Amino acid sequence: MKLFSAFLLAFALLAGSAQAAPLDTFAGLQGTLDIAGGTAHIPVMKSAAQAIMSAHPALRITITGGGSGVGVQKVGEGLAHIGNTGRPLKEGEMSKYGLKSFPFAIDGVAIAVNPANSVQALSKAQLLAIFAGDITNWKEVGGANAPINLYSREDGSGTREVFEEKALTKGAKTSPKANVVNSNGAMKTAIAQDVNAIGYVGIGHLDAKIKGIVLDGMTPSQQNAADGSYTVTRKLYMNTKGEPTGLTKAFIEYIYSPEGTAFVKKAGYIPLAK
Amino acid sequence: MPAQHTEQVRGHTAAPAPCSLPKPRTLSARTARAGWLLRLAVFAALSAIALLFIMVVLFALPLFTGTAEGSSGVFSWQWLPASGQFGILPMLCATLLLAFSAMLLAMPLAFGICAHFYLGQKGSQPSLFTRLLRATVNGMTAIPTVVYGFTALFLLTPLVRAGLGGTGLCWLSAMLVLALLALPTMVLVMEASLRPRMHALRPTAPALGFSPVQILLFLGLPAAREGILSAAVLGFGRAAGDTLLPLMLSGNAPQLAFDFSASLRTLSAHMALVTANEAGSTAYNSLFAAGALLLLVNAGISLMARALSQRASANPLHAQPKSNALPHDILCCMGHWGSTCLCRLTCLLSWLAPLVVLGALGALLIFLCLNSVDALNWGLLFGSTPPLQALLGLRPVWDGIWPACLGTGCLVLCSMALAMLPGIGCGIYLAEYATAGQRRWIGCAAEMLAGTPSIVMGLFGFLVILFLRRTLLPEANTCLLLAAACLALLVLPVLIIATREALEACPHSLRMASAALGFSRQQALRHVLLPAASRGIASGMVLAIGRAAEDTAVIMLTGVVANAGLPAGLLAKFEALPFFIYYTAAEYQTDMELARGFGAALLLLAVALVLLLLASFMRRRYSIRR
Amino acid sequence: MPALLSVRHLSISFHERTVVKDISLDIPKSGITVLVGRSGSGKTTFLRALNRLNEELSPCEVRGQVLLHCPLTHAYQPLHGSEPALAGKPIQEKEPAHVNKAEHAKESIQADTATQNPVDIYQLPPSSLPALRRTVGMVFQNPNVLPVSIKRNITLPLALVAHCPQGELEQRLEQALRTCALWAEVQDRLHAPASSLSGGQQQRLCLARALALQPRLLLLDEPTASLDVFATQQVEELLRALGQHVPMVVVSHSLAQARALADRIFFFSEGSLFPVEKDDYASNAELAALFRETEQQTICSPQPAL
Repeated sequence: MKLFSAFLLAFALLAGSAQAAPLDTFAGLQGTLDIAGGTAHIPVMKSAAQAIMSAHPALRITITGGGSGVGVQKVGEGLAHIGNTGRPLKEGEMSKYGLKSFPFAIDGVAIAVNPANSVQALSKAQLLAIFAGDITNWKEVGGANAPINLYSREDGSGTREVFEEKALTKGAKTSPKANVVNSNGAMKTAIAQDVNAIGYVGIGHLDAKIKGIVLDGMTPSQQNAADGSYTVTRKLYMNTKGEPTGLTKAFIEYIYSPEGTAFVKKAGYIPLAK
Repeated sequence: MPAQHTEQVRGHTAAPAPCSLPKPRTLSARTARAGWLLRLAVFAALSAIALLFIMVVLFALPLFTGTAEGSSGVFSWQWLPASGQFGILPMLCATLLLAFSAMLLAMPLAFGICAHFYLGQKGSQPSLFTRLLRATVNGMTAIPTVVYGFTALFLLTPLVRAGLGGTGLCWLSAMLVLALLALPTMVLVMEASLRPRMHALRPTAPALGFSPVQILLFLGLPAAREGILSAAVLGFGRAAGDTLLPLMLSGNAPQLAFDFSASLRTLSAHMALVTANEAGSTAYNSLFAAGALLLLVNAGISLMARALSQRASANPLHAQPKSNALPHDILCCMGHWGSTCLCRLTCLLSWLAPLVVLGALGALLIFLCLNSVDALNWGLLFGSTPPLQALLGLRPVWDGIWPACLGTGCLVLCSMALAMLPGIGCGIYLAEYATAGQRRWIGCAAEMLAGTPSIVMGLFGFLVILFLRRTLLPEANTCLLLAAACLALLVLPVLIIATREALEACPHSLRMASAALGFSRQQALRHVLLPAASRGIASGMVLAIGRAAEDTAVIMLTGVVANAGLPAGLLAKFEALPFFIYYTAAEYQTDMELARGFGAALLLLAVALVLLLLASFMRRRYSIRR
Repeated sequence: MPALLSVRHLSISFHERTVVKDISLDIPKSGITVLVGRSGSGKTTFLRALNRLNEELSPCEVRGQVLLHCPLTHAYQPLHGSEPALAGKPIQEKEPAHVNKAEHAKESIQADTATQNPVDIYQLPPSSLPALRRTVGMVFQNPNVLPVSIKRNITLPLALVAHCPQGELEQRLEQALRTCALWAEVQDRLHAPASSLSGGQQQRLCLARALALQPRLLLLDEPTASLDVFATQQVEELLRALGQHVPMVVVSHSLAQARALADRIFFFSEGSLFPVEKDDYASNAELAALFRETEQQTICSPQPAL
């Protein structure tokens, strides 16, 4: 056991000396950091945690999902140090728990259809009518004569919120007949299979299997979202109870560091400066 | 003896009973008190169930009684949270429709498979096909719902879409897969109840000229009525309580569905969908209303099934057929033509059902293998860490699912350790000691629990921790122990019902023989009845292990994490395979990631199978020793 | 002859159907008592009442008393000890006064048993039932061997119920099997499942199992009903031999068997009991005629209301 810890220490020192500066802030820190909440955040958090724990094996960082609501509840009740949300905190949540938000990334939300769909672009009005259930056939918007299959996200989803607010208009309703899926992955799977589908996903999830729709002339791409020419975007937040200290603070700093932003980019999001 | 004495005794028989006689005593072996361990087990199980129910009801009550201003209550037909309409009645209808249709579909399949076990074999040794079928059914219990869901998403929904039109995410897809999901539970419970009865009939019935299919249909089946009802209720509960499959396959539109191609949202899926909302908001709290409604639905079904079975066996004297007496048959109610048809149909079903099920599972397995072939290497397990060092725990594993495998193993062991005593103890109590009233309401509670969605258990654990933090243990946090306890609650009804069924199916002569030899009730139980029932109880354990290994919703709120390394103790957080799969399914970006998810699913199947083999090995050791 | 067991005004009903009606009977300390009757006449229920086995079947209502004039065998009894009763620890009766009041009328029977302080088995607490059933053993109509090996069938109850020390089990096993003329047949396959034996062998195993517990009284419920002619003969011979040492109550529907075995015969009809004197019959035919006559009487005569 002694040998084992000595080995670990040596490994840590080696790795530590090889690493760049941002990881040094963790030197001397100890304990566990629990992160909970939105699933969209997990890739970023996981990469960061791996880098940190490789350099400082004494630290233990755990990451779990549960959704934005659970993230808020967990951090608010002290069950986690960082609660992630894919939406801004609500008034009630902020005041009830005394939370502090750290937006660290922008996630563009793209309207997506099946690649076999001939429709390339839609106007806001068309989109509104489609999602309200008024337009029910693709030929009405210049496509093939086929019914439109609506796919939406669950209530409370950050992606849905930003889609309804920015791609549609504030207060717009999604038809209750729309199919509801509860993750980007599920949305992608559904649209990739269904020729007549329309839905929305995080821009990072666009690939050859699903096609982004040009909305009012705005092409969904990471670049456009970063420079502001694509406006259907949301922020991803880390939330802490009160001002972060110690390990929590160091972790949040790390996410904003150059290494952290690299992880954000790798996960398909646009990093946001503090 | 003198003749006079004869007269004396005769005189006594003729005379009315003297009034000096003591009052008649009603004697029943059931009045015997159970040992403290058993009583403790029952107490533990019941208090856990009661706590869960009370919590759900407490949280749901405000939603049922009063509603916030300007919003419609949960008992309405519109779900539009943005406009303050929180009606969950469409979800209730969807749950009933989906669960009932899935159960109706699974019932003949389950019966067909059971029938195959009796009709399909030639000679005393079961054929290879039968053995394969049996192993498959046992293995099916451990197939994670997330695996079913994903495979169906890629295999079944395109077919349904082509056949029915629409999106393919609809009632029919969800129903087909839910039937498959509920099937092993139903087969195992049905078989546990049929087996001893068929065994008891073995020498008698063939001698009367009954064919095997006639024995099964007209003698075995009526005798195993209770078990079959239990199977149906459990199957319904499993279908109604499952969260992931409806979530992935039924489309989730909060509307009323009138045809098979329509999208619908069940209560359980609804519960999973609203957790993203602000905790404490009406939308979030409708989760509790949904949970309470599901409890009510399950209670209703369970009570109804009980009432039905009691009507069927109105005469208590004949409620339990004697070992050799033929139970009353329904043959006479049916004409010759009808019974012949029924027999033919059963024979057909006994081959059709196994083939359909094996075909579906074969397709699933082939699909999984094909899709995960790219990811199946050491890297899937250990990431970039050298395997040997990872196995020895010398170096932490990143990007590999080895820690998750170990985590799942620990989780299953812990939850079984926790559930075993209350589950089996409660089953024993129900079968051996409980009064008729206790049987009814404890049985009903167990069946209600069986239909409670796993997400409710997870939420329960979460709220328990919140409560503990505010009162006794400010440092309490979600952990392996909590997750195992919640999983134990999840598998409790399976253990209770399987144990009860297995014990009640023991032939009566066994009880009489043990009693006549002077065995106390405990001794008879331990040395005669439990060994005789061990196979049925083992089936229940197999079911429970599979269920504990595959569940995602429970552990998600109670301590599983995406990143924790090897399990570090009971009070630490842990990784688990089902969560890895779920998380991959939700957030995959590249095909490689998806393939890794499928690889993990395949591995989860393997882990579950290993646990099953372990269980069967232990059972075999036990039966050899006796 | 001194009584081992006295039944007083015993009535038993299941679900308000009276099966045994106000029976009084003494069972002496030696010899074989045979109860003959048609099936359904209540004789099996009566037999089971003697070791309180009815309540294991389903809830039943019992009136009257069954007095046991020997102490219950609670503890371990050495194999070659003195009188077994002395080794056992007598159980104290709960309400002796009450029992005595009901009994004073029958002084002729009481005379011998008064010193023994009889026990009403229906006053026993449930915890004493195992001891009762060890004292009053039973063999059933169908050979119901336990689903374990031949050896375990005998050693399991010995170890659990008779608290027999481990070292003595083998000896007792052999002795019990020899007593029942089974040793030669099974000695080389003691570990085979008991269900692999033939019907006759199984029944003899059940007999050996019951005898191994050294009962003071043995109840046999149609012990040969499920056996073939030869097996029946074998078991009957065995019973006749054993009857010299252990008192038995045998239920049978065969008058021939009753004559062959019995020291005393009782007719059972419609839940009531009728003693038959040795002098009353000389042949099977006479016995049968007597039986028919008795039966006719019960059916014609009004039954006492209960």
